Amino acid sequence: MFSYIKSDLKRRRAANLVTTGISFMLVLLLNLYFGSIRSYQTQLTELAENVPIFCQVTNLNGTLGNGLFISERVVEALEQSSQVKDLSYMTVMMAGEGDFQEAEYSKHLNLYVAGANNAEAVGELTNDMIHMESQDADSFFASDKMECIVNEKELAKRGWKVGDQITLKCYYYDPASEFHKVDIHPMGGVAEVTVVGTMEETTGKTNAIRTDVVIPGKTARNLFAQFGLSFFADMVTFHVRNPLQLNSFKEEMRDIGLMETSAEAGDSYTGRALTVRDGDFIASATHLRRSIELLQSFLPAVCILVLLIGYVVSYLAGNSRREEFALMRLQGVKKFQAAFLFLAEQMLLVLIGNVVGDLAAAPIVETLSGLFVVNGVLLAAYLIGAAAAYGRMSRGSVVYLLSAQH
Amino acid sequence: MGNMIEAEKIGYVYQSKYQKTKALTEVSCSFEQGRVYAITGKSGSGKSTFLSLLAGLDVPTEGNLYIDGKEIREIDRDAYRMNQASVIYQAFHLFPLLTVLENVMFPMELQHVAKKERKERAQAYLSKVGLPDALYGKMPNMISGGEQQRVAIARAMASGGQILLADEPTGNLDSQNEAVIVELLCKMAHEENYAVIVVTHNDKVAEAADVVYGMSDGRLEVVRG
Repeated sequence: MFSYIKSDLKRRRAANLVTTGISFMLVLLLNLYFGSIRSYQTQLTELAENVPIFCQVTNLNGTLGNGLFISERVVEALEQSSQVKDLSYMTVMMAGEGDFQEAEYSKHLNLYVAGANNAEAVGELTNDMIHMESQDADSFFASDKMECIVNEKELAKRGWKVGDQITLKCYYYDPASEFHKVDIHPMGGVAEVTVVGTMEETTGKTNAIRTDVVIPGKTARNLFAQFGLSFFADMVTFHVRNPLQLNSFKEEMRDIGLMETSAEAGDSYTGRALTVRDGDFIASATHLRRSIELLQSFLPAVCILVLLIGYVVSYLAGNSRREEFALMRLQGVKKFQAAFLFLAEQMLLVLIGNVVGDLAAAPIVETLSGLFVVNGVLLAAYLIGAAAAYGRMSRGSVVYLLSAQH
Repeated sequence: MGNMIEAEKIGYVYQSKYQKTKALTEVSCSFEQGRVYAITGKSGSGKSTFLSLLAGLDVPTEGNLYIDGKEIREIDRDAYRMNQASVIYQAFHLFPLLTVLENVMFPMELQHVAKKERKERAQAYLSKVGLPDALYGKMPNMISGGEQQRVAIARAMASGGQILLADEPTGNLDSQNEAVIVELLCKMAHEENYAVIVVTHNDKVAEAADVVYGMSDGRLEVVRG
């Protein structure tokens, strides 16, 4: 019986090529269709990395992004939030060298000290601008040790060396200050810090404020706590961890106490609003989502079309073999056997078309599951069409089938 | 010599959605090996219906039809056509995509005869019906009608059965080929011990038969025999 299939495959070349060719085209078309949807979906997923959403804590009217008073509660809540990544914060203090009399503060208070949790928080400072021998910049910023890095010029001017322990009398900015009239107060004691590295000059390169000494963010927070003071960050920035869940992110930010900016709000140094730069992301995401929705809206039509083509091709191919079917029956081949033989032959041709189509579409196919769906839909369509044709023939009378041919 | 086929008051009714048509009425007759039977009659008289019942392509709606003593409803009719009875038609009905030789080999393939043996036997059958070797590799549409009918007869022989049913076997042939086919059918009956049952309009075929039945309005009567 299988030699019959072999002969048929060999001799019915044109018809077989048409069946295989149509199956090939349909697989290619379906792979292209599903591939486009998957490609847009991948772009949407990767959009979060390619177009990160930057957030900055500001005052209520959104005019200030630094020089603010942002409470430690907000900083801690942001640190613990699962929706936040790349959190940067910095607090700014002033200091003088040594334990001088408070009355002489104007003569000694000439060092700008920043407490930051990473280099980027300090203006335009980057890790490669920091030079340390015993550790790297990341571990320095992550520590809570009484260590500092000093601006190279300041180091040279004051004759300090790496490894020196310096005494700083620190002053903090009063969060209760009126706008444009910031008060400064001594923290209440001195801090002994060890110089562990140097940093290149940033002032002049950018608009960043001058920074002479940088201490780790946790060290700064410990210092405030040590003197019984509330810690306030000067600026806080971060990125949204999952931009595709922007609404839930914004809800959490509201729970933390960060409001949307309002142009009508008065000037203030209190950092309690959040600027979310999500315009580009939303525009790109909306475009991609619309494209996906548009393509997906065609899914029923595409499926119906494929099913219809598969059915019709299979049905016509099956119908064209009525005489052969009747002859088989006449020779004593059982209905089921004859139908199965033709069905197997046709499915083999369709499968060959599918495999060739899959190979041609390999560069755009990303997942095996997608491939299974495409091939499954097509095979089902062909199977239904062929089963209908051969089922109909099986029910028909052999005499009728032969006389109809005649 | 026993009766291979025995019809006992068989009747057949075609039933469509809207009407019933009685094609055969109380047909009783018997067929035995070694003889040629001709069934004559006008178109629509029920000859072909009777032949399709004899071939096991359908079963009578009334009466009983016995094949070697067994009622046709109780036997595997597919196996009956595969091993006992072969049918040839006016339109030859060869497998269009098999060569002449492959067509004759096909029934033996169904019977799981080894490839080498079926090839040898097919060649022998083709030789017996007088088909030249040069045609064995040809496709059916490349040979004449007379040659195609000879291939159909060789294929019938290849099935190994002893019943040959022929529906207007000379209907598409010229007189020369007609004579060859009639001679072949007679040889099969008289020399190879087949029961040959031929439905025909053709007087020459009827003349060559040992027994002639006439069919009119679904009823069968003996004309000669």
